[in-house]
Parts: sequence; structure tokens; C-alpha cells
Amino acid sequence: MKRTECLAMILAGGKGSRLGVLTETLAKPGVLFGGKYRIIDFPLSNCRHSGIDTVGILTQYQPLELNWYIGNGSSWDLDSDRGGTFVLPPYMGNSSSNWYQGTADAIYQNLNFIDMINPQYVLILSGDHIYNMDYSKMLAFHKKHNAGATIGAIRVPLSEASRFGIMTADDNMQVNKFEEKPENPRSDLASMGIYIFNKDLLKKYLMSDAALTDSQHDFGKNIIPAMLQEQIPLFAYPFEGYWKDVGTIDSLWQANMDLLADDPPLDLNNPDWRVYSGNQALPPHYVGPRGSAKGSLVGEGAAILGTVVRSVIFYGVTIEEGAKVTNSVIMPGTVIEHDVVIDKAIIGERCRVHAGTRIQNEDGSVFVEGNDTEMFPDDCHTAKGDEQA
Amino acid sequence: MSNNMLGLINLQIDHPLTELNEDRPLSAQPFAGKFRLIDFTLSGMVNAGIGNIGLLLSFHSRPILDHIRSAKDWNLARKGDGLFYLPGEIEDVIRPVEGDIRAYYKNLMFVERGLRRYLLLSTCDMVHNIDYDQVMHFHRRHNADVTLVYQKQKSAQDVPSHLLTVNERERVTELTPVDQTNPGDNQFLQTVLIDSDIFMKSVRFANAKGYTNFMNDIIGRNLNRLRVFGYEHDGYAARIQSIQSYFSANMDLLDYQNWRNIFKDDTRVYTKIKDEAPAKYMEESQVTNSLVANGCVIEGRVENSILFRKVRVGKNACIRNSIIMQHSVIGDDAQIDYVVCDKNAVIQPEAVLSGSPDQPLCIGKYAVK
Repeated sequence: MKRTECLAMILAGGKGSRLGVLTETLAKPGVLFGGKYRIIDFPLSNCRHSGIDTVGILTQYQPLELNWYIGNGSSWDLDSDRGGTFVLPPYMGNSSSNWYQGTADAIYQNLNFIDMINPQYVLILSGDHIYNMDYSKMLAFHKKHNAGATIGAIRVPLSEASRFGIMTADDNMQVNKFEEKPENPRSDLASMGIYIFNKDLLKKYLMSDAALTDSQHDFGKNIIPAMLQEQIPLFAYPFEGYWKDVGTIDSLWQANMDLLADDPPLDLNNPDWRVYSGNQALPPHYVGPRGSAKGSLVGEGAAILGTVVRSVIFYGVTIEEGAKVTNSVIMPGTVIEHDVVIDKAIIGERCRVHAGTRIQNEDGSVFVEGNDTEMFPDDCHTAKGDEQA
Repeated sequence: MSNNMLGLINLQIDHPLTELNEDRPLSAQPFAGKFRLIDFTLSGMVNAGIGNIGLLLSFHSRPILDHIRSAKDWNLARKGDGLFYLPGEIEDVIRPVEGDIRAYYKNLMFVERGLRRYLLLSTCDMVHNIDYDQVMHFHRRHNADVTLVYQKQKSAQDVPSHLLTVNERERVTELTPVDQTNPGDNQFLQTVLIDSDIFMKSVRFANAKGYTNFMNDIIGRNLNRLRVFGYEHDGYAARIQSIQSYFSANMDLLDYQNWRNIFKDDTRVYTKIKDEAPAKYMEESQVTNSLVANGCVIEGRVENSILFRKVRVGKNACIRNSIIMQHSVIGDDAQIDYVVCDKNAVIQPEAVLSGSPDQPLCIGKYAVK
């Protein structure tokens, strides 16, 4: 059989602790987004559209729902005989069993899998970002420059640069400096946490890093600096377009709101770049005689009997008559009863907000409630967003 | 759940809605914003745990093959069992035979090899969410040979059908073919549960005798010999036979109770997966009493209408009492009332089009108006 050219490995074990109640029983890549998606739909759909048919998904924290969702990858058309989707949890070896200690260690512990597939290149992705990106262009760039490793890079405002891995590169985009989360960033070129490595080179560096006791086994902190030091040709592939880390309640809420602009920065309706996701077999949504939706996204099977303004309403949600939802994200299967008022909130799956409840944080922050919660008018619904921030 | 039923859907009993599209069989007629008519019967069978289903194809089968393909989206792409296409033969075109018995006779092998005790026989011009599992329990409880599913009509309908007379023990005593139905009639819902052995024996016998019509010649003639019972379906059901019945059945789903009744959480209606984004309402949109599918982008006004996937409604456009199929575009400031737009139609900016409740204006596939 033809050799796999490029194997994608998606790091999907992150706890996402800054997402609070939303990741209590669910790894961050499984968090719901945009009325029908989960975060991991984006890298998986990108792989499918980039011609990558073999994907390993490294899970660790709360993997059950994520495993159930991924299945055999057929939702993303990644279940072909030539490739496939492989969920890779930590496992027990002959002499030891270890949780994944860092991003590099997670890949190191799966070197057997990588050898089994035996690709020429390994694409490392994180399951935490919302973006549409053609990895085949990045691979072509990698090959053109004869790079040992290529780092996906995006320009960020200098004021935010200290949150990222920051690079400086020459005119050819060859990287000459890489700093993880620098206090005084001297460049606005940020690492997206996306890497393409030549497989043999990656293997060599992972093995030598694994032997170090003082390493954090992290790509940004250890592997990339080690390669730079030994003058491996490292290049930065400049990505232009919408890219959002949705690691906090605020950024998750903001990324959802970004979709509601009349001309949104991330186009979900591009026929050449559909974002695939698990399917629900639900009917078109229903808008009642007194229902109304403006500046909003509404998923299948939802019933809009009340008023929805600038909100993301997931599939299977019911908004009863007289309820008003503004600037909010309502996740699947939740029922908002009549005369409820909700502003600037993220409400989890299968909740029931009882009639007359008012939800809004007084300080203007985003209110958050987790899955399977009942909410009553007498409870205090004002401060939860703060606790999680 | 029952794996002792075999499903057989007859797509040859078909009457295309010629006002819309001459070539499209009724079974492939788009319905309710994202489905095709066959989805309702087929999903009902899947939901009842029937894992072995035959489709008796008509000669215009391309739209159906394109829609169902491997039947993976219905979870019927299985090893051994699954979905079977039962195509016609060239001989049937050259020397067409009246009625449906001949087609069943030619495909008896499907029933014989299926090795299931019961056969569920249906057509694909029905919209309903019948629980076939309940029908089978009813069938067994009555120790029936044949169970016919029917519904008491609420209103008069111009649809040819069979009426059932059912006695107090739920046994069918009379079966009457009619051209139209009146309120209170027990209208047959094109669904028969029959013991496979009896089906095979009767079809062989009827074919040898030269009989043609399954309902009249096999069931109707044998009401005394066979134990035939009537199962009353109390949920929503509609039979599509004309552009009028098509239009009104679509509009029925704008009633919240009907919508909930057809689209239940535990018995979902499956269809071909298209991966469209959730529907997008722009700031200026105004939508009431409508069904809106994924992939739509709405800037204008929509009332009492059904929008299929990927419909675009321009600024200040106004759609009332209409059905707009997949991928159609309604231009800015256009006004339409009582219109059915087939797929990929384009209504130009400022166009004004209207039909009437009895005669909706039909706009063909890819037409520009």
C-alpha cells in the first residue's frame, strides 16, 4: 500500500481548567461551539480538506465523551481503509505506565504508533483552536524550504504577545529565535502550536528529550529550542485568517459572538470548506407565530417560540414564548421556559431554566452554567462567571 | 426492537408532481425543509429495528440512488443485512403489466432469503412517524395474518385510497377502494404487516391466477379466509398525491404540535447528511411561523413558510406561505406569496410572484424568475 505522506497527531488531552464547569466531565476539544460543532471538528475537518487521511488523537483528561464523539472518524470522512482515525490514550507498557507529561512526551509515548504508520512527515495539532486552515499549503512550504521543522505562525497584537510562543524570523521566514511566553516580546509572530516535522528528525529529538530529567517535555519549551540550538533549519509558516484560542470563558463566548456578524471573520458557509461534525438527525428548526430571531445562529431541531437576539442557539434547544435570550450561547437540549430573561450567558447542555428566572452578571462578565442543571427564579444567578475566570 | 420483520417499500406506485418536476419520483420529492418523502417510511423501519429492507425501484431511480447511496446515513450499510435495491427489468418497460402483484412475484426471492417471520409492506408517498414495533405487537396480540394501518380522517381529501370497515374486535370486515375520503372515514395508510409465508403463498397464487392488485385481489378477496386486522394510528399522517396535498402537508408542519409529533426525540427521521452550518439570521431578519433548515442565510422577512437547506433570503425580501427548496436564492426586495420554488431556483430582486392556497405557483429547478 502507498506510504502515508503526512500523519496528523492531535493533542486532545487538555483539561481546559479555565473553562470551569464546561470541562468538568469533558476534555476541552469536546467543548461545544457555534450552534452545532465541537472544537475538535475544526482540526479534523481541516485534515480532511487538506488531504490528510490518517489522524491520531491523543486523549487523556475525561476522554469518554470525546471518544464517543470521535468514533471511527466517519463524521469527518476520516474512516478510509488507507488511513483512519485512531484514538490514543496513555497505555501500560512492559516496564511502566505513565500519564502524558507534556505535549512532547505524549507524542514520544506514541512513537510505536508513528513507526507503525511510518509517514514521511508528522503534523502536530492542538485540539483547542477555532480556525479553517489548509495544512497541505503548510506542508508544501515545509518541503519547498527543505525544513527540518515548520511552525504555524500568526501575527498577534504586540500587547497580547506574551501569552504565546513568540518567534523572530528572517526574510525567508527562517526562524532564528523562539521564546515561550516571553515577558518582553520583541516580535508579533506567534506560534499557533502547529508543527510539521520530518518524522526521523522528530523521533531523534523526542528520544533525546525523553532522557532528560529536567525537561518539561514540551514542544515550545524544549523540542523547538533544542532544534534551534543545533541549527536545524526551522521555518515559520505565516497563516492569515481567523484563528482563535477558546481556552477561557471570555474567549469562548467572544468566538461564538464573532460568528454573528453579518459578515463574520470565520465563514461556516463556505461550500469548499465545510466544517464537518457529528450528526444529530434533527429536523429544520421551528420558529413559532410569536417567535423571533435576529443576528443569531440557530441549530436544527430547535424551537424558537420566544425572542432571540445576537445569540447562538444549539440544536434541540427550546425557547418558550415570552422568554428573551440576548448575547448568549445556549447548548443542546436545554429548555428556556416562558418569561425567562437571559443576557450574556453560556448555558450548558440539557439544562432547564424555569419560568421567570433572570440570568445576568451585574459586573458585565459572562455568566456560565454547566450541563444538566435546573435553574429557578429564587436562586442567585449572577456571580458564577467570576468564580471560573 | 424486532429483528423478525423484513421491510419492503414499493417505489413503483408513484405519481410525480408534474407541476414541479416531471422526472422526479414522488419518493424523492423534497419535503419539510430537508427530507425526501422516502425518509419517513424508511426511518420508521430503521427505528423499529428492521435491519433488512428492500426498495422496489421505479424506472426513474436516479434521484433515489443519489439520495440513499449505501444507506449509511440510515445505518443500513451492514454486513449481510441492510438495504437492498430491487430494480425492474427491461421487459417490464416493453410489456408493462398492470398492478403491483407481478413486481412482488418477481422479487419473492428477497422475502424468501430474508428469513423473517413478518413482512412490512409500504409505499413512499406517506408522511408519518408510525411506530412499527407497536404494529407488530398488535399483530401478534390478535394472532393476525395481516394488519392494515389506518387513520380516522379529520377532513375530506381528494386522494384515492382504500377505506376500512373495522368491527368492535378490530377485525377488518370490508375494504373499499375510493377516489376521495370524507371526515370520519378509516383511511388506509399504505402500510401492511403480513406473515411472510402467507405473503409468498398469496403472491404466487395470485400471479398464477392473473390477479394484479395486491390490496384488492389478495387482501380484499380474502377478508373471510385471512385474519385481517386494522391498527389505528393516532399520530399525524398525510398522503401526498398532488401538488395540493404536498403543499398542505408541508404547511401542516407549521403547527407546533404536528412538528413535535412527526419529529420525535426517540424515533428520529434520518436523511442524507449535508454538513451545513446552523441557520444564520442577520440583524434585519424577521421570521415567524416557519421551518428553517441549516445553511440558510436570512436577511429579509419570512412568514408561514418552509426554507430548505442553503436558501438565501435577500434584504427586504418578503416570503409568505411558500416552500423554498434547497439552494434557492430570493433576491433583495422580492415578494412572493403561495409559491413553491424547486431546487436552485433564483427569484430576482424586486420580483413579485404569487399563487393561491389552492394552486400554489410552481417554479422549476434552476429556473430564474
